[in-house]
Amino acid sequence: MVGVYGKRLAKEIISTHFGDLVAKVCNCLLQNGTLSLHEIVRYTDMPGSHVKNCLLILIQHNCVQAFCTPRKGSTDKTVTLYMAIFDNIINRMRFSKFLSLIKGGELAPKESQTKEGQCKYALLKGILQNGRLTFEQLVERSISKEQQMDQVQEKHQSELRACFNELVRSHYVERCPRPEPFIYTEPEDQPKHTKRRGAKTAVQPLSLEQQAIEAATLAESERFSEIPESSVERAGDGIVNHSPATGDKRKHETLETDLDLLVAIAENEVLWRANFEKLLYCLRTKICAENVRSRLGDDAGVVLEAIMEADTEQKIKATIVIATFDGILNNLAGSMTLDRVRTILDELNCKSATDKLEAIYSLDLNATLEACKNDEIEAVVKARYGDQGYKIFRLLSTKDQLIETDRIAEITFMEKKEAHQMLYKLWRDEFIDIKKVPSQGSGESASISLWRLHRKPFYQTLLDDIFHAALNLTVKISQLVEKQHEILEDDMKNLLKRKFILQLSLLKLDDALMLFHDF
Amino acid sequence: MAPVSSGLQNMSGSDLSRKRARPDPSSRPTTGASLTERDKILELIRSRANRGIWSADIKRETNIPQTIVQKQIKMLLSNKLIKEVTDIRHKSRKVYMAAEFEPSDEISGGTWFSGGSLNKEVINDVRKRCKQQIMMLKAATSDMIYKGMKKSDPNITYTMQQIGDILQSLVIDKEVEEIKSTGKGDFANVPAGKVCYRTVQSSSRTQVGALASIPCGVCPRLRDCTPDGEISPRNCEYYKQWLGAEYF
Repeated sequence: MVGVYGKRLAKEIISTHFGDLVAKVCNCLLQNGTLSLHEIVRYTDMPGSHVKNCLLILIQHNCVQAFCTPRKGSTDKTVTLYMAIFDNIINRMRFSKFLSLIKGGELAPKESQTKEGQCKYALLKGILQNGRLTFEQLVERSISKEQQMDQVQEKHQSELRACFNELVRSHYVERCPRPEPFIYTEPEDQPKHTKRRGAKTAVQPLSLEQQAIEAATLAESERFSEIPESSVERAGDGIVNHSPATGDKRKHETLETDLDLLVAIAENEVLWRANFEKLLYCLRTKICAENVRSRLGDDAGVVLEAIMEADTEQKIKATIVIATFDGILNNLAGSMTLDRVRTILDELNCKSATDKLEAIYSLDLNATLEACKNDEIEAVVKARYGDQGYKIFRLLSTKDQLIETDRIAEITFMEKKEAHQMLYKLWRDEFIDIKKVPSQGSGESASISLWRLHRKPFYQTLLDDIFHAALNLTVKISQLVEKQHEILEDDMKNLLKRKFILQLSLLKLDDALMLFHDF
Repeated sequence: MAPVSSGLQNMSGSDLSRKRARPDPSSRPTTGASLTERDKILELIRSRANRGIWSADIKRETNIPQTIVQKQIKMLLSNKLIKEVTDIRHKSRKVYMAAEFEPSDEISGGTWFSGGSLNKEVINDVRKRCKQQIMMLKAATSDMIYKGMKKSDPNITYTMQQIGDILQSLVIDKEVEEIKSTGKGDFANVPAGKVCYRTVQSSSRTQVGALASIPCGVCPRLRDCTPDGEISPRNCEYYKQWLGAEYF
């Protein structure tokens, strides 16, 4: 559930990237949910053509998904609805982080940059900047940038295809989802199916938006289907079909034609976009590895990365990561002995099992993710309330149970009055909860105060604050950008320095945003 | 029976002069009754042993007027028969105890309190010893830490419970982490699955949170702030101070 400031931040991002008109349409969808074109025109009070253009831009950049449903009261007419994809809008803040994941790319240290890495970097950058492109468009973009001569274009295109297929193989890039899937909705006057008696689990029905996303998503094999080589290129590579008989030759020619057709479709018609799920998974790996590194040492961080990269599923929301021992060792590339790896796997509390004579390890990331979240929260508490508030919060956070004021004062070695004052402040600012129980054995109407940290509602409050802070940083950056046109050149250096500080802070805050919203 | 008056009438003048004067009812005996009240108060204070008694409770239970109670207490204090102690639960109350008793943990606050306040020196000393044991053993249970401390200093009088409280405070301060043993590596001396303690790497204690490192993270008016409102990031004083840019 996205709060007020989450939506405002999304609107601000669209406004910065595409202008106020597009932001108005996007905001309309964010505030009112899924709407038809006619409804958007009504809400925004903009001409229909402007709304259409704005929607096209938003769809191009994967911020809106369209889908068809039967029109109400009609069996044969359909209506196209549009829904905002909040997560993809927020992902626009992370493009530089996504690009930094490309090994050997431009954001890597100079000595480790490779030609292949730079090629992949340029391809991914092009896709992120333009939302969705065909391979042909990517090639044209690359050629125009590098001003390649005609005769080397083919070789260049072949190299680009190899790099591009590598990105697809690694799942950084995917084929775009279906543009307007059809979602069948049950008519409202039909009686709903009752649950079978004895059904133990109640399956939550998917919302219309969830159904739309599911229907639009291609099957895994299609989504990451690479661009094949053309028959000419295969011949050039020495892949020649020896077919002496005439009949076979004709069949071979037909096959070649089919293949060329597939290649043409894949290069010129298929739209490709960045696979945000994989990119976020990589960022999650980095953040978890960093946390483990700080707690358990460098080796533990390296092994955690190896486990997460070896997981075949790589789902962003999955907290259990499963990898084969061989997969882990492959990723470690012999940098550690087997015994050392096994010791670290035990330290990380990995559970081992055997499947078809293969050793498999599963790791529960919950503890690591909670540790990351705790670090973030405790830093805020310490900055706002000092050491005393920090100690009390740490105690309630580690114990996860109701504790009496006196006991809190005892464990934290605080005066009872000070402990009570601090607890009240934390409660007033919605960091902790209080429960009063009547005091037994006392003639007066006294009560005992019990305190506890309720994580779920607290995380939601904190997430709203993080969105709010990110919005403030974005607004401040926009303010400095406006000022760039007004101030003198002497002051420009200072202004750019401050803008840089704000941008870095926003990138760092985004790590916290990912922790509490995306992971 | 002859009336009293006739008895008086029968007495001679010299008899009348020798007659003892009737005592003035407004004057009280200064020696005998004070001793009784003082004894009463002292007995009551003694009966409370190491828990002590509040002056208001003395007045209520003895039914002696407040001024007399105060006076008697002052005398008992000057004669060192009783002493005044601080009740850690009610610091503003005057609590009195017989001199021969030591305040109970309930009154004094226990080992960690001295004179009604936390004895930070003692606490820090015990924390340091606990940490030394953990560093020596790499990973240790509370039992192992306690035994180690006893071995290095047989004179220590702390209980397991008190050492447990100290270990908790080290965990809260992130100087030590509470973890389940794997039975291998650093945990070789601890059976697998048992809760034990080990020191935390210094880098994990110096994490600076993303939200805490910007003005909004610690701002008391964050909930009132909006981009277009009276309090907004555009005119925020905290941002100006943070960026060091008065003229932006």
